[in-house]
Amino acid sequence: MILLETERLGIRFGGLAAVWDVDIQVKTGETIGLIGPNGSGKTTFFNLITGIYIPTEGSILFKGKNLVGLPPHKIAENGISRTFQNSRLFSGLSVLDNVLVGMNLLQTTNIFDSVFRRGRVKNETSHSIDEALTLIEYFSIDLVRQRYQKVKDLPQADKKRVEICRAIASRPKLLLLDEPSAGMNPEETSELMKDLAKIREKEREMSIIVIEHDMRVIKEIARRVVVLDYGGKIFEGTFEEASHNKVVKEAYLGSGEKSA
Amino acid sequence: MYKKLSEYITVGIVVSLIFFLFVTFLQVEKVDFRISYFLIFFILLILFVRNEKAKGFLSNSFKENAGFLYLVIIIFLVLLPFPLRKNPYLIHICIMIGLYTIMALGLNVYLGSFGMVNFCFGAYFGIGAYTSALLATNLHLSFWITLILAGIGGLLGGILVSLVTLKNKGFYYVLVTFAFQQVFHLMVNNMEWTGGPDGVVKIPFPRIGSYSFGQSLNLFGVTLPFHANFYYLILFLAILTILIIIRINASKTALIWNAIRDDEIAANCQGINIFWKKMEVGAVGAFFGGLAGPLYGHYVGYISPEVFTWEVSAVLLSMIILGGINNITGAIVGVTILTVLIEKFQLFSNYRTLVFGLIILFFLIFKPGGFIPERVRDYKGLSFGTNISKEPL
Repeated sequence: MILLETERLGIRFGGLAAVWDVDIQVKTGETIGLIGPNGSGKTTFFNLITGIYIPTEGSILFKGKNLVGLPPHKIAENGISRTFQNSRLFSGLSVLDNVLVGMNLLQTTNIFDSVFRRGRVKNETSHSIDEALTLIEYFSIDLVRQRYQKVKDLPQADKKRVEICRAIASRPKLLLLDEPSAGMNPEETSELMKDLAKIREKEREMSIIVIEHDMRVIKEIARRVVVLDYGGKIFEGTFEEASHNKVVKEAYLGSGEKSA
Repeated sequence: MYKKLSEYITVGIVVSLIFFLFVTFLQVEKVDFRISYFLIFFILLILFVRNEKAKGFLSNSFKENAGFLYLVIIIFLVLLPFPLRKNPYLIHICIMIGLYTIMALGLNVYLGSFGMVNFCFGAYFGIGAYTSALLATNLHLSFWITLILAGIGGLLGGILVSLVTLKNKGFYYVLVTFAFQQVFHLMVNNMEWTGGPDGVVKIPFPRIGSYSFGQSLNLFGVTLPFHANFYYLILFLAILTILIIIRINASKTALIWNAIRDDEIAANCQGINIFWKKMEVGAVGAFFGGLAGPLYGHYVGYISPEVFTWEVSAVLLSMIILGGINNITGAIVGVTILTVLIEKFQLFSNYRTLVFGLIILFFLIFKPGGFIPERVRDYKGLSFGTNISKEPL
């Protein structure tokens, strides 16, 4: 079943087409790698899907519904969640609080309940805490012990974990991971790959699109890769195919004949 | 058993000591004495804050006997007017502390929970005061109705400012709130129906049935000056404010405010509607500003535009920065210290803003969190006890 389908999706900043004519189909439970050289429009593509930028062309169909023009929080309500390239955590809040914020879509109490219906709020918070801790424990028991630590004091790998926990806390149908291995050393990257495998195992129904520069990660987790260059889609297929494709190689390395 | 008892005694002694120092300090007449007294108190406070062991012990016994602690504090607060009854001015100081507490907690919603420096709190305060004063003098409405209407008036003002500043952050937000403050001040100063520069005079005292707040209060056979009526009213409302803020801070509402403070885009992508949350913050903070207005107006008996300037925000900001941003206890400590400073050291009167500026600078440079900094939320006892939540920290 097709979960997300973009049709001729594009955005222009003035005269510059940052993303143009991108058609991507994501099936339920599938992992897709989105790769391409720096500045090829990968993050812009994520920003289009999550509503941070409003597309100037094309459409985004999610479960058959057009998402174009919806603000980010409406898109999150529909079941799309993301992480950011330079982890954008709530740095003043603790590990647990960050994950709890990720759960706000599952919570129903409002400010009047906070003031007048203490019991309901306590009940809901307790449920959320148990759920959040179970989720954090699934990735790392050490993080559970550090649950009251402010996230700005955590090492990079743990920050990424918290961000992933926050993103999947609302049980999204589509998860967008923007370069999860950015700023990690090789050991941390291998741990990250284990974490990603764990997500896959836990949420089999969830679709994932991952932007990554580390090809080890892509090879390990993505069945299908989409390659962007200068904002356009230049290739779609398996990782093996992509690594032998001439156009993809040219995009990354430049064309030998021309430069010579 | 004995441990519990000794903890109770510790709590009792510490609280009584603080109140004893406070009351005797208020009663010291000579300025030199006051200064030395204040310095001693200040140094003690700093020594205490720097001594981790003493702090740990005290905060531990405070935390474990929170119910008892609050009981003792409330008893002392109720008894406070009795030793001060000879000099109504001292009760006036306590009233101002209560009033500033309500406002500081309101402003802390902006500054602490939401990370926005709001300079139009004086305008919310003024909206409340004028709403109530005009309704009471022209339509002769009861104080209790105008009190609520004043709160709602402040709330609407807050929503208006939030609407205008929807896209503003940082300095731009400060500038817009500052402009709103000036607009309010110029309007009440120049419009006829607000009384112009003369303000509103002869604001009636609140009444309960036939009992007027203007008459002296007889409690347990002791006659207290009429100020005590207002003292108890403001004490009650300040405690109510504290309870409401505690509940909001403990809930998801304030957590989401904090999230927006730390990263608006990430919060938006987590499904948080930034627009509604900004309206919510604007409304809650300004409500308490509006609520404080009539308490001041009906107590003093007249209001004029010069009270409701940007200086209100400046004073409140320095109180919060001194005490501790986004911390209720901190705000109360800051309010108490600075109110006493303002009222007892009239010699500063010409240099008041200078002194506040220096305090803000000092704290922002050397102790940015204030005396009692913001704490990480602790959810102890708020879990159904899965095995993980028992995992040691």
